Amino acid sequence: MFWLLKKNKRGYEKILSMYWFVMIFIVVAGVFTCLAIYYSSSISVRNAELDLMLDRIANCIDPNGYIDSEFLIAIKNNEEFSERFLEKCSLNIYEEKTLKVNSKKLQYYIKISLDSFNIQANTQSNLGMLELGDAVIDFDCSINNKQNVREDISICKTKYLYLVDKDNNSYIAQILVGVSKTEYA
Amino acid sequence: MVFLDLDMGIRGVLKNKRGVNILSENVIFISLNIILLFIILASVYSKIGGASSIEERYAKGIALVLDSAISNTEIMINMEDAIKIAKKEKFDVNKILIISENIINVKTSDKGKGFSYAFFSDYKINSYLNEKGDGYVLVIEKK
Repeated sequence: MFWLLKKNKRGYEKILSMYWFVMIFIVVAGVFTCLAIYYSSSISVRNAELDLMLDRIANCIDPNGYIDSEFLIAIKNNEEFSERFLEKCSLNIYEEKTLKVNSKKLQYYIKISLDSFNIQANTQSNLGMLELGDAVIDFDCSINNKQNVREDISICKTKYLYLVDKDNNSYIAQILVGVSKTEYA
Repeated sequence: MVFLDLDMGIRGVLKNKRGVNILSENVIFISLNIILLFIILASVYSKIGGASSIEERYAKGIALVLDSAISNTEIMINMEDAIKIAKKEKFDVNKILIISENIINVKTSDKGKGFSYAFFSDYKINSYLNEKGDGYVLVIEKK
């Protein structure tokens, strides 16, 4: 290339304009690559889904400012409550056959742990737990390290809810929800 | 470099001292720059307004709307962008949004399968194109 620079003024200008176009081409290629990467990646709404699910569950187990009695009795007596809970909260945690999934698949995981809470003594004792959905999601979440940054692994969120019953007894519910839907990433 | 000389007149604008035609070179240079700029803008526009990204955006957005909805409500979704693409592709606008069980499918042309996404709300959902033809109405009822 050095011999080109030795040319007269005219030739030197031509070389400069050639470099100018090479530069523009590199910039255009860079912009295009960035755009292609940005727009080809899917939009993730899983975090928003989990927030909505947490709100739905919270409103469902605490409908009028008091803990739902049916839910409380079922947890205390360790009764089978899964199907009734889904029906009561209008939840569908199954994904029917879609274009991406070839069979009925569990896409969500819900775990509600209920503790009775004594404010005066500041003591807490576990009353029971309700677990629904695919437990593998819970395991995946531990890999995702609760940071919810990896799109190829399930994500989870936890919410603590302070509840009271009509007799003014206090409870603490730990609600954990997880979503898979990794095939959309 | 342009040498303007009163004696030279318009000739000075077109040619420099050595007699090289500089106007045409500059015109080519500027034209190529404009073409490159146009390529950038065209690629940006095609990426943003692509049918597949619009289908995905609508499917996931509607899923979130349904997840946050309560029963016995009617929601109007503006889907102008998708309808515009469907009309361009000569696709039936009444078939853009299909909700079966808890799966939403948004499709804007006959070519692909559209984009499907699941939502967790267990409601009976009825969807239809609104009177104006620029969106869909979602009627949400308890099962």
